[in-house]
Amino acid sequence: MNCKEALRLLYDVIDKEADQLDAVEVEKHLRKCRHCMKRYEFEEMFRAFVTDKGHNSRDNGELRHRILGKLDAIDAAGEVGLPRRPFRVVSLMVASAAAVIIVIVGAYWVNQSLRTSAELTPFVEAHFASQTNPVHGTGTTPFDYLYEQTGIYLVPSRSCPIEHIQTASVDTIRGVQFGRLEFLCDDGSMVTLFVTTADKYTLPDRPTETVAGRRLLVRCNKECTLVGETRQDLVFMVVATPAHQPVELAQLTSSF
Amino acid sequence: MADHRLQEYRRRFEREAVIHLDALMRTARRMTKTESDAEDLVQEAMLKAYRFFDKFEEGTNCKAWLFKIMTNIFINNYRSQSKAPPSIAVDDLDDGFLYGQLAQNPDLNNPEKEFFAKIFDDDVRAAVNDLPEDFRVVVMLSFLEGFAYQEIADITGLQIGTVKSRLHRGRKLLQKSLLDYALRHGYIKEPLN
Repeated sequence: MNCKEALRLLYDVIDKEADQLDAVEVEKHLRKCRHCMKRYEFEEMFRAFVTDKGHNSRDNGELRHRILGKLDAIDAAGEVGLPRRPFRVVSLMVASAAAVIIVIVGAYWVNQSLRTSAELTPFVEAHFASQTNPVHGTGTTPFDYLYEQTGIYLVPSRSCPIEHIQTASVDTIRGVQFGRLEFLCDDGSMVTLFVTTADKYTLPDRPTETVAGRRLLVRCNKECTLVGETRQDLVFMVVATPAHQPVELAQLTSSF
Repeated sequence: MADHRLQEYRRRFEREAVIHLDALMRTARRMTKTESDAEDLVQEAMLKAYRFFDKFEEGTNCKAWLFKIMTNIFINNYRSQSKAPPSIAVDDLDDGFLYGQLAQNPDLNNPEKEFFAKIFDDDVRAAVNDLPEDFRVVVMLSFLEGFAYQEIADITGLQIGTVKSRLHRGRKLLQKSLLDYALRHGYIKEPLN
């Protein structure tokens, strides 16, 4: 190895990125060449110097304390890992229509990992092609998309596996952004879930029904049934339609 | 989740992730303009990591995973919109620029030792802070946090070649800036050219 080659590998060697064989060759050259040796020593010293001086030992105790407090809150709210109870879409008996809509979404710890975009429908795949998962780089799921767009993280449960999700998107009404998931049920009916945070949107307070101790907003007409609920800091609206028929917020507000 | 599972989850997170808080803050301070932005960024990254911690593959590098989460949040929420690459004439500087300058300096018998002895910690921190963002982050991740090129590429989403070239150019800029500090403060004298 000559000086030129040794210097070409300078930073790779200093940063411990050179491959073993190159490193050995450089080592041999340095033993013979004082000029290169000095240069290597200098760059090594420079790196160590910046590393050493650059460390700033400021105390982050207060921040640590604050973060641990927030983790306690997450634990207490059962949002950890996969949030325990982001929401449920429950079975609801609408008395006069004798229509019962039961949809339960996300309540349990799910061991199975979310599927990747490759397994989602082509539509979803196309829709998410440009989205980046906040955690895993390129792997995307509708939930990751919703999380990115709205900061709300929902979880597929066994009762609502991800393959039932048709699309995930964001819908806006009067400036309020809702995350929107469409689920296709086995019987061909479709359920659309809208979700936003309670500080942005308040559900109308009537007509309400109390089901299993929970206060639900219930509306229905020929085309669809809507059930709304506020849970902690989230607002959910679930719309069931007998056929596969996309539902938009704007259309909902005009039809009710 | 059963309580004992939750406790274990929490304990594992504290053991593997929270210990990197200082490292995250170190980099966050250099990514953001204010201390409170840095704290917000780190806090957001930590909470997101906690929620997603079941997705973290045990046995892989947790620190790199946390930095990736933080970097993504930073890119999405904090970074100013201007994405124009910095136009800096780094390539005008030769490789070994600082070394060459010091070697020529008539005052210094052992140039590197004397140079390093005279520069203060704050000068180094200021020099790192003054690097353009793109270089600064890569230099930080390599020099201060000890990440490998591939890990830096994963964290920042850059190609490994870009990581190398930014690190290389960042290193040159840093050397130039430290030499300027040293000259400006009279730690060393201008070499005779």
